[in-house]
Amino acid sequence: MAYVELTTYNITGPQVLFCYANDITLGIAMYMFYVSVFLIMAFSITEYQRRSTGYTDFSVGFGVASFTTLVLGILFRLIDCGTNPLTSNLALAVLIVLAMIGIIFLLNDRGR
Amino acid sequence: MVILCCCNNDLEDLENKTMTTAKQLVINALLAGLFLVCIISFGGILGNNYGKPNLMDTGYIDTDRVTTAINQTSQDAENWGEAFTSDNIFVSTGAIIIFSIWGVFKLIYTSVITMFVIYFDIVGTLFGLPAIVTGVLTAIIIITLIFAGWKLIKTGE
Repeated sequence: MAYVELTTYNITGPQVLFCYANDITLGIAMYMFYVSVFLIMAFSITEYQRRSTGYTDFSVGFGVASFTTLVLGILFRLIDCGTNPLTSNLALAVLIVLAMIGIIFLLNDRGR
Repeated sequence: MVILCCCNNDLEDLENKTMTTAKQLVINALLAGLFLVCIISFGGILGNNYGKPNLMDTGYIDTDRVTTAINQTSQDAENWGEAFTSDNIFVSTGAIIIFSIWGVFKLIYTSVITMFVIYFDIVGTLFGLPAIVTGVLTAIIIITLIFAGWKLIKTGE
């Protein structure tokens, strides 16, 4: 089977980059995208805390990153993208659970 | 002896600063449920506005159970509030000691266990956790609540 190229892809607009990458990787690209967004946000917030205050509170980074990734996933789910949605059912459920764990972690952690 | 006392005080301070009390655990469990309902409602409203009413239907999470549990907890709390304020002060003073504390503890216990069972069900379904893991976590919550109830009856805290 020949690869579908970006120039022959039947979607117009800036979302074509995400849709194309997601389709040709059978949905793996968006999983990796969400994982990378989550990790970058969580660890950058933690590192920023360490530099600015001298100590870290990972629950804050975890909570903010999980919540932001969930909102990003909800917004990406609105995009019409051919056969595979940008945020699959499994990805959305995982993001919701991650946000729930994040909020429980954040509320129960009393910090330093 | 003085050193031991100082160390003991420091340890107690550290415990107070880092450990979550049972009261906070109860409130946090309900707040987390409220957060879950709010975020899914937000997604549903957003989906309706953009012509996608099933935006948040994943097939993995049953949010109706969370909503029902929160509503039931709210209803129970209102009932206990009404019972507390409707009695004569001379009657309720004794009744609080004999009946109310145990009833309030039962309310707290039922609410928190219900919420945590729902959370563990969702996580177990999604990540394929074996039943023994969720069972152990639920047991830890139950043990915590039993000691919290004992402390409530014993000291009123």
